[in-house]
Amino acid sequence: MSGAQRIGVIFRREFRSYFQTPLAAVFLVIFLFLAGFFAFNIGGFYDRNQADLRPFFQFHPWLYVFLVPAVSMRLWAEERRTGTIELIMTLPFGSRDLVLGKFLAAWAFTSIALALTFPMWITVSWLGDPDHGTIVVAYLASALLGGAFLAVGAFLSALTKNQVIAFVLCAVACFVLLLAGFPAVIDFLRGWAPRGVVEGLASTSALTHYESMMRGVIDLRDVLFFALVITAFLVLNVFAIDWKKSD
Amino acid sequence: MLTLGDIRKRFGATTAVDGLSLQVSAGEVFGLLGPNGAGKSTSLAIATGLLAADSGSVDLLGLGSPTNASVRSHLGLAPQEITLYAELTARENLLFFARLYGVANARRRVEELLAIVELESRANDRIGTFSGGMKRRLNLAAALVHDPKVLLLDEPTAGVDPQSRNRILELVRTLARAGKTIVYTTHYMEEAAKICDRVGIVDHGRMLDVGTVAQLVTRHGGHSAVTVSRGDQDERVLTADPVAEVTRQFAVGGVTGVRVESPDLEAVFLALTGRSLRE
Repeated sequence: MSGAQRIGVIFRREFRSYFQTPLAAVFLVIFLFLAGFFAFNIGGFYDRNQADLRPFFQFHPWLYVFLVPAVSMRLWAEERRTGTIELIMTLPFGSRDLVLGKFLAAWAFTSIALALTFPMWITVSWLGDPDHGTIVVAYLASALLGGAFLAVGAFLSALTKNQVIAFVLCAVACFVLLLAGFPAVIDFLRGWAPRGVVEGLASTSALTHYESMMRGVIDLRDVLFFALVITAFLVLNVFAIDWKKSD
Repeated sequence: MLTLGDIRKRFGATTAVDGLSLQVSAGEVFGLLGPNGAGKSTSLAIATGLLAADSGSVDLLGLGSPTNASVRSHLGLAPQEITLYAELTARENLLFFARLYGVANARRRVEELLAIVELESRANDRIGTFSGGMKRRLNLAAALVHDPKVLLLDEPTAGVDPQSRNRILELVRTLARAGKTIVYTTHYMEEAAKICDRVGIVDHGRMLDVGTVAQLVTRHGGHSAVTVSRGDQDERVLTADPVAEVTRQFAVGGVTGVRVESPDLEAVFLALTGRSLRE
């Protein structure tokens, strides 16, 4: 059996498991409600008189800080709590396939939640003449950001059997990953830190790369940033699972 | 078939396994008998590659350590905890593991196993609704899904009803007759005596002695107790030859009742550790 086939088996089980508990419904309802609420009530979707989805996408990073950990917290912590990790770690292949299968299922699930916001796109298209290319790239940026946060959360979930701890760790880590690029933080740093340090720190922020893509420009550096974060945390996830196999 | 050589494992200040060695031959049912916390599960975790020993060696089928993924394919583990997905049905659980093991014709294998553990009628029920005994039987089926040569069963009857326990013991006997090599940890001496070809007595992470039940009883069990009743009077005699003692008592005459208590694994454990297995 090839690695891809194993990843497929793990993906299918993991993906189905979201819909076998109330998690999927709760997550989808909260995500869709909050995404709409922020776009219309805080982002001033109608008040701006512009046919774009910027008020919708600009809040995604902050939504993901709390919603993505709700998905990632169970990825490994649940396997540890129920003891199933003991059996899956005796399977005759390495933990790479398990890590990838689980991550891809979680990413597919959050991407479905994102895709279900398509009525926003229809609405803005009906009201005006938006730049559809910008919207497509913004959706891609949002999916990549969600993937990066999920990879961070999956790694942190592998370190504990307590889902609450996994949730808090992930929320804090994702918040820090955003904060480095937050305008208030950058302005504060500019007051005393050398320009190179400020720019270096800002370049490690998911927010900087997300906002860059949200403008509709696919810059290879932005895509590479998210790819790098996802890859790095998945590798760390493999190490964490191998290190704490039987805990 | 499976060899553990001078395994040591510490968790902080606690020594879980202290120089444990064992050699299990092909087709043998080997019992690891000891109280909770004796180091049985830790030894099995090391034998499966789940835990790395601080020192010592593990070899499976002469292929090396099960930390190597290809070696692990010959191993089936039924851990002490139920390690199945509560939100999946019995069939889905087995299919999931069968597919991950790359079992050819996974569906047929799963149906076979459901029949073997007598759960066909509950195949489509989520295992969250199962009794403890049913979950144990399914746990065992999951360990068998890829038809491994060596089976490690960690307290497979812990907390199950007598009916399920008998079914599990019968299944272990059947597997042994089919040529499987089985390592069976338990703290129930009756189970060890019933199904194991050889038993290793484990306490405080050490292997105290290994042998058949008869050998262990001969070496450490002490004498049989013959209680002879003569009317209201009972006389208890310890003897190495209970038959000769009973014959002698009948020759004296006046015997109204005789009870012979042979030493068992409990007596062996008491002799080796100075305490009861149930303490």
